[in-house]
Amino acid sequence: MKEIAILSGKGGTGKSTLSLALFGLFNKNAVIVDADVDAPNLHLVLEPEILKKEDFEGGYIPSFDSHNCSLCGLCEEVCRFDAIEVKERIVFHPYLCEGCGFCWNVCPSGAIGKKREKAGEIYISNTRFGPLVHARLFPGRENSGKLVMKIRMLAKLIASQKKIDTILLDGPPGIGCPVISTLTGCTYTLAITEPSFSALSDLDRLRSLSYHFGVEIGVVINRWDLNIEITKKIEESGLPVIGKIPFSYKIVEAMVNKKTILEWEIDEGIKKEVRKIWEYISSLTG
Amino acid sequence: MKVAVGSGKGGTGKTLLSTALSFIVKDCTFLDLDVEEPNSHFFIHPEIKKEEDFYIEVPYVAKECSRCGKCADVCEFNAIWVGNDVHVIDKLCHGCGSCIYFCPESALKTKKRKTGIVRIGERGRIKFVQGVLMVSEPLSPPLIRHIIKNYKDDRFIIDCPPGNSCSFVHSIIPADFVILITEPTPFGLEDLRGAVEVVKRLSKDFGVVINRATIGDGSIRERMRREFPVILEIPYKRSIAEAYARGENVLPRMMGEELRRVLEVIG
Repeated sequence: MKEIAILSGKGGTGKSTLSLALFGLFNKNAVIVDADVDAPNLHLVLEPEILKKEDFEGGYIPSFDSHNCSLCGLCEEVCRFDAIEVKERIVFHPYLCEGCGFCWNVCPSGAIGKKREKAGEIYISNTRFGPLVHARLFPGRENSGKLVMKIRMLAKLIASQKKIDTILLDGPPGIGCPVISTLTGCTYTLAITEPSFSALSDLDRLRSLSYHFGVEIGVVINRWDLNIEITKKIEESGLPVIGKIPFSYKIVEAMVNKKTILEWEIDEGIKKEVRKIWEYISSLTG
Repeated sequence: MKVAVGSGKGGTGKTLLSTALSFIVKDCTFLDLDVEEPNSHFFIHPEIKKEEDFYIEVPYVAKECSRCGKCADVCEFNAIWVGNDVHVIDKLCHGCGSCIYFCPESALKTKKRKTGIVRIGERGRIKFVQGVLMVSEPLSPPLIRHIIKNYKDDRFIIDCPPGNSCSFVHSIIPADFVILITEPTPFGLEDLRGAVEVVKRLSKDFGVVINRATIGDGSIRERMRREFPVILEIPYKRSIAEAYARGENVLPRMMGEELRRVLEVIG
């Protein structure tokens, strides 16, 4: 089984666009995971038929019992995340709470309990190209890394049930915890980049991250014709360039029409390049 | 003026817009809180005066203990494991201090662990502060919070990280006004809705900027204008993208008047 992480460092370089096209080429021989749980997008083009929905519970958060509370203020004192204010009543800021439990463990009146709240939803679906596992983390929440691990595990189960040996992971931007959760244990990182100084800097950090976790990395240069010098810099950087895609107005058109770029009237040169990238990742062994 | 520029979807132009606004304002503090992938320095070209290390405090076992396991019991992040020895998994630790407080033998002490740096500089009258998280560190909120606590003042512009979860939330907390910059595509619209939900839950005033407004067939742009308070539209021009690639921000020159008007709306 091989898991391919499609990442970028920089946002907006075309991860989802390319992931969708590659998924199409696998033609039911891959499972795709939308690992950008903060801001999932694949379902907008894949129009999934949802087979199963599961609640995702994050960590615990405190629940305050005003009857037993003496307003002593100890919970506010111990909270390092400024999530509790004790005035004439308890004011709790859920967006700041990290669920550490200090408050419910320390309360001398037993007035703070703990509860798990639903923090998101997981969907297992069929699509025209094969199985999709995606999730939505409710806005503002933590534990995105935990949710990514969960959907990866579900994808592995589906892949093994259906005797599918490739899992594509469309990842989030950045290099923090949801990216780390997407990347660890993968066979390969396919880094989608663009020829800008910003993207180059971000790619470099992603490269370090990938190496740190022992995952080989290669690059696709999207919109390469925006800056030929920087494209050349990427080509000379030592990272293997798996493909180069020029800018095209048709890419947005395809998306608006809920089609992958290969399902749309797009330049034959671009289609060929995407197929070349697909051939490369198909040939990787897990 | 306390404004943060966020987006939901990555790559919609947060850094382009936030740095452009700082050039128009001229006199402010610029906080680059996209600590995982900071880029604003490519446009602001600050003279860096100082680099500070950022540490979080994590526990370590300072003396022999009875291995009662209380520390592991209270840790909600599975960062402490008690077997024949007490093991602390540094990167899982959120620095809450619970384990140290509850150890009945006072066997745990804290040590500092470097997870990032803060770069401080200036360009003209713009004070520049940028967080850089170390590669392989999972948590950006502690560094984001540290920069806000120590460097925010009365006039600031924040360049937020992408996404709608905890990093974004922490980056907009000190702001009075949040600008959400998007693009008129299905992905842009979907992620914008998520960002708006966060902003509303935090009771922040906000406005939407549509970048690359002229791409697509106009249907999503129309929908955005109907659904959200749009305060500015930036047309797609290849020249903006090409200049951006080179680290050049042409927005102040191209749309100076419009940017000034946005700043008036923000107040």
